[in-house]
Amino acid sequence: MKNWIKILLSFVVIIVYATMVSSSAKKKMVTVAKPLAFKVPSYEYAPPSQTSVGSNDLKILLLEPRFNDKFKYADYRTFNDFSKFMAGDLNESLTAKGYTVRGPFENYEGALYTDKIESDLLLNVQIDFDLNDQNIIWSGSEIQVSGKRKAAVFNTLYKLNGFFVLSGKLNLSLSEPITKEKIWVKSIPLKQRKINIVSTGTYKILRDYSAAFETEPSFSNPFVTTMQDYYKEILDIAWTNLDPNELTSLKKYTREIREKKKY
Amino acid sequence: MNKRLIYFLLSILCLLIGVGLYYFFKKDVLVYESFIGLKKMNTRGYSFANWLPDLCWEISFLFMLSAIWGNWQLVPNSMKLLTLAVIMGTELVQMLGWLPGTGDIKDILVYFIGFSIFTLLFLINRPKQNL
Repeated sequence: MKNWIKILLSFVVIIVYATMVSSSAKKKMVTVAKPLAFKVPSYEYAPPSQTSVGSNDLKILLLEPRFNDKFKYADYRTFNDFSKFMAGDLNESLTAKGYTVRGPFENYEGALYTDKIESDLLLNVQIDFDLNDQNIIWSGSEIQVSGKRKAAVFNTLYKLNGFFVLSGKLNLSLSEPITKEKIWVKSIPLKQRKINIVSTGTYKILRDYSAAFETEPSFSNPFVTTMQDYYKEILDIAWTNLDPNELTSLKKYTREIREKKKY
Repeated sequence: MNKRLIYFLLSILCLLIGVGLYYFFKKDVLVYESFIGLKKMNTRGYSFANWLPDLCWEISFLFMLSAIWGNWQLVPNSMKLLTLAVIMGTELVQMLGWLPGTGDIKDILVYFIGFSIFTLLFLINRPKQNL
């Protein structure tokens, strides 16, 4: 074999060897990050104890809990589901305490006259939330949308990051069901909670979170977790405060109001 | 049997042993295994599978050069030096992150020992120059 062929073959072998060694490295597993999905809230509550249905002689007309009027995010799923599920669990808690419950009704107008007249008390649950966004930092950048130089038109797009502070109180009130005359009111402060947000979206309107709630799971999901904590806290408060011994004594006021108002 | 053919067959044998060791005793799927579509389900890996297959491939490489030149002793010193440089170099560039894989000083030592033993074995069985 001629020398130059040997040299050529040797180089080929060297190249093959180097290729083999480098290809004996561990294959990198490319993991494609799954897009974050909207977290479905799981609102569940089990009453701490159970007494027989109707064991106390008090019929309660129950309305779905509602958020205070200033809370503008009440229609978003996280919060809307919160009040819907709570209506069901409040019903269950009241029944477990021995009350007879009519409802829950979406609003007062939804209840029939017979429901109102046959009930002793009307229970209103109001969740008075305050969403503080002072620690959310909005940073804007101008994006050219059309035109050139002096005729250029810019839009500002914002990114947001930071944390919300959610606090508030739970307002429980009992009224005479026909006249809605308030008989009993309690306002219990709720624990303050910090909601950290890691947002990647860009938004057009400064300090408006509507689009973020609707489109960005990384924005919306931390709220779900916090609301799940609030759910238990609120129902525990309701369980403690809606005590049959205290509430039965209010029945006389319903009779009194009805007599005075000629019902 | 022709010595060149023996060296060639030994080279192929060592190469296949290396491939087999990687296939049966290494847990991770390697780049070439993935390329040729080899599937493996090893639940555990063995530490010797980190260096023994490469050593087999090194020996295979040296046998192949011996097959080309007729004997390892007949391989020019410059080519031997280049061979050693490539063996060590691949590991070094892996250490530097320029090539995929994990460069390890232990592996370099193993390759060096393998290279030395191979050379010594051929020194003992020195061939006739006019072979």
